[in-house]
Amino acid sequence: MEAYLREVRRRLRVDSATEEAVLAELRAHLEEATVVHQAMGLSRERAEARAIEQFGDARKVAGQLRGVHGSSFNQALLAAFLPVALTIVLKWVAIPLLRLSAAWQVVTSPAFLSVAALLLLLPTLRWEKWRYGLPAWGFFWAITILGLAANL
Amino acid sequence: MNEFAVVEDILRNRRGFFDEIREGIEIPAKIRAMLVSSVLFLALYGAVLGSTHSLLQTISSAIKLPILFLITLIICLPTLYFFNVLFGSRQSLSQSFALILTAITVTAVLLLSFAPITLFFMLTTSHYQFFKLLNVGIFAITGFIGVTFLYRGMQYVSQEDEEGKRTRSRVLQLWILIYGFVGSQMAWTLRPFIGSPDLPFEPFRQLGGNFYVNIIASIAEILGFVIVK
Repeated sequence: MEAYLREVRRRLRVDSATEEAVLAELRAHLEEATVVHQAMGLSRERAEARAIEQFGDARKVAGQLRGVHGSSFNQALLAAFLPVALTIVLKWVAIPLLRLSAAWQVVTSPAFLSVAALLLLLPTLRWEKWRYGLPAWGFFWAITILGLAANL
Repeated sequence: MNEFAVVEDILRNRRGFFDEIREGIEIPAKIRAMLVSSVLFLALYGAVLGSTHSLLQTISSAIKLPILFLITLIICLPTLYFFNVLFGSRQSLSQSFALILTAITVTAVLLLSFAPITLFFMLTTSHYQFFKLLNVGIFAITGFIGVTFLYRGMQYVSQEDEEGKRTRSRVLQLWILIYGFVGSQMAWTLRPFIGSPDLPFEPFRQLGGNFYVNIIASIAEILGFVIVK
């Protein structure tokens, strides 16, 4: 069992806190399955082997666990990617489109744009995966809108 | 293979990743995942560079930056592969390709990590030469770390091929130097990525000039010696 858990750990590739939690849970499930097989009359060694066999290849198990738990890296990627991408979209797509519209006079005030940006940000607070990127997004949009106001 | 999981694999578990390349495990899937993630990250960074100028420059730089890295790779790959084979390497072409792509992926994800900083300076400063030199610095740092990954990966993957080991190591060092020169000249050929605020948008500037002379001139302008046109 220890060798199996070591192999899963080697291939898990998540942050250390998640790794500890995932391995503890996996160990508990393996122990549970081992006890069940022992109750059916198998020796401790054979029961462990049967339990491991049921769980499947360490590489596949690690891959599946990573898919479920390994989100901190993806969060970091999103936190770097989305604020930047959305600011570029605001600067070069959203604002020029608004300029073309008849409502430009209404939306031209930084106050309106700031409130609109805030309203847009609010629903995404529920979007856990990139909550670390939200302050950066808010900050970049605020600077973009202030820059626009300064140039009006 | 999850396209972004490969990046985490490279950064968190490089030995395991290089082991799998050495053993030829899922190399096409790795190549595809590295291509997707690095193109996406480089495109975003390119967009940040171009967004100082105009929408067209933003789109153009988002397309050109991934092309810059991939063409440089394609141009330099045969040299590395044939010289390695000549000096005793048993690596396949796809293994060499995957290893160089590892360097590009590392560079790309580090550039992505710099993207918010670059965007911050883009939004808060209008000094073109400063912004250009800032990016030269960022590319130098991320590129250096990327090729360091490549160097260690190559050493690790071919450590069992004893024949010509020292020579291959020197060839790799020389190749990295050539890769840097080809990359910088390619960047100069595909310019502009940022776009001078005084000039209209052009997908490519006229050929001629030199990357290094331009950088020295930019430093001179920031220090107040000359004005770069």
